[in-house]
Amino acid sequence: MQQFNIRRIGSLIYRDIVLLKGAIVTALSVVGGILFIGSLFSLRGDHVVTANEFFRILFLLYIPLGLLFTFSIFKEAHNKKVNHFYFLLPVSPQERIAASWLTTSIIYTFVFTVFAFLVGQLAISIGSVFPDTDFHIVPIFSEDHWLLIKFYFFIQPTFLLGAITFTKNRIGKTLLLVLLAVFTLFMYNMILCFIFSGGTFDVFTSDPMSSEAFSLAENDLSGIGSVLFSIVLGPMMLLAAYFKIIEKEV
Amino acid sequence: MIQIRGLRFCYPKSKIILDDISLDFTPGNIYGLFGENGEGKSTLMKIMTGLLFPKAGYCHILGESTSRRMVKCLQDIFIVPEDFELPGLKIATYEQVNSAFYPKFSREQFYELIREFKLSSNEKISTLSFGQKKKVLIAFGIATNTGLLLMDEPTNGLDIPSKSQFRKIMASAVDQGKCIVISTHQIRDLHSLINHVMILDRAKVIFDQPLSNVSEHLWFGKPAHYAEESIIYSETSFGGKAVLTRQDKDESEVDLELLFNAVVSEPERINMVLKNTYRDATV
Repeated sequence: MQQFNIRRIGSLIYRDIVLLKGAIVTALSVVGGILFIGSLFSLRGDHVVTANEFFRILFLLYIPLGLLFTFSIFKEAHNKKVNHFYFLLPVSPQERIAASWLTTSIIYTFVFTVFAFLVGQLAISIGSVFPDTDFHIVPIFSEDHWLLIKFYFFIQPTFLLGAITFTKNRIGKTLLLVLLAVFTLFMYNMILCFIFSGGTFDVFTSDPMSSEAFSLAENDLSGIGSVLFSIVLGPMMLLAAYFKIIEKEV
Repeated sequence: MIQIRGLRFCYPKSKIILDDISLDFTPGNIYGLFGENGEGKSTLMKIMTGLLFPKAGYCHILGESTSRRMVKCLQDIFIVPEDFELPGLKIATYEQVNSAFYPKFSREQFYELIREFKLSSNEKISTLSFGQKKKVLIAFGIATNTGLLLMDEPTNGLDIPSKSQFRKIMASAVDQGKCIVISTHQIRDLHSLINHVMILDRAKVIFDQPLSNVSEHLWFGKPAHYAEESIIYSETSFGGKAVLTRQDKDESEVDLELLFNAVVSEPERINMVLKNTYRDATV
């Protein structure tokens, strides 16, 4: 028996979306309302929705909504009255991870982008009824927008792991853990700086030596570091989520 | 179908719930799993489905450990839990989103059972009573045609006509070579259905016998005064009903409630009688 079957992944994605249909419709309605009003406001003054203006609205909605969606996908696994069905559904852990990742990253991003485009375009079309506003296409694919998507894809697996791992206060606990990880990295860097400078180095000063050290670190390490982080972190988190599902009991 | 050997389980910071349990479940039988509250019936069912993992020993289905939750095993297991919630979908939508995962699922059977339970496929599950939701789940469980069907207190919440409907439906389901395990306190609801009894007490299996063996060697009823030496267990509250060694009496209908009370209070004697008579018969 295959432990990885594309059809089962498709069925699981369909099931998840149907079960969350109500929440998805409500969330999209709220997002649609905010995007619509935000786009209309952007038309004020210059009569154009600029890429920067549209990005600012998306920035507020895209990541928080995506993370909420990620947590809601695993809600069934933590509810004592329904988790029997969740864990006994004939689906392997790898199919479950694949389905939840595809739903909350690829499908979510596609649907959100198309929806944002349509709502923005609707706002522009309505705005163009007024004489000073010309009809124009929503400038959705700005460089900032791609960076935003990239950032979401980078952090999303960590939140997916949190959504599986924690049973209660899942969002808060995951955020705390992320903050703790960032703080640990920060402390680690400070300690390294302190050691290499022979105990005389103060990272908080605007001392030229300090700035130079930061610039050097950025040149030498951040390139490799960011590549490593973006390549390794996501799959590592998904792998950890896979093991969490395997060892999860009701 | 299911093989359990030396199984041990306890919840964190809790006493041992199941200790050195060894059981076999084979297709074509309806097993009654009985025990007082907190004796581990639901826990055993959860281990059998892979929802909980044993601390020692093993539980195998189709040669695989249930705790591995392999797809091929999960496709052959369905459980109707005692307490559950169903999503607020239409019955037809519920079937549509879940049936795709069970290769032997029969849509015709499901909708036939739904009709038999006097429900409509267009009804929204959120508007149904708990008993009706249970009927939806029972219908779905039977229609999955899994080799192993487990039910925890299936008649809780069912009205009187539905209980007899349930018995009828289950009796026809077992003909298909399924293995059905029912855990219940409502013994009277299911006495005509079960053909094998397992009783858990103080974390152990104290009784594991087919009913054919029980009715062959034990006699249930009001004993004549001269038969007092063959009484194993008696109760005044049942109008003086007792469990006796059958000897040359006519076969009696097994009173499951009386059997349960007898086994819990006199496990060694009952098991000894069944074991000895079995040995006598085989020698």
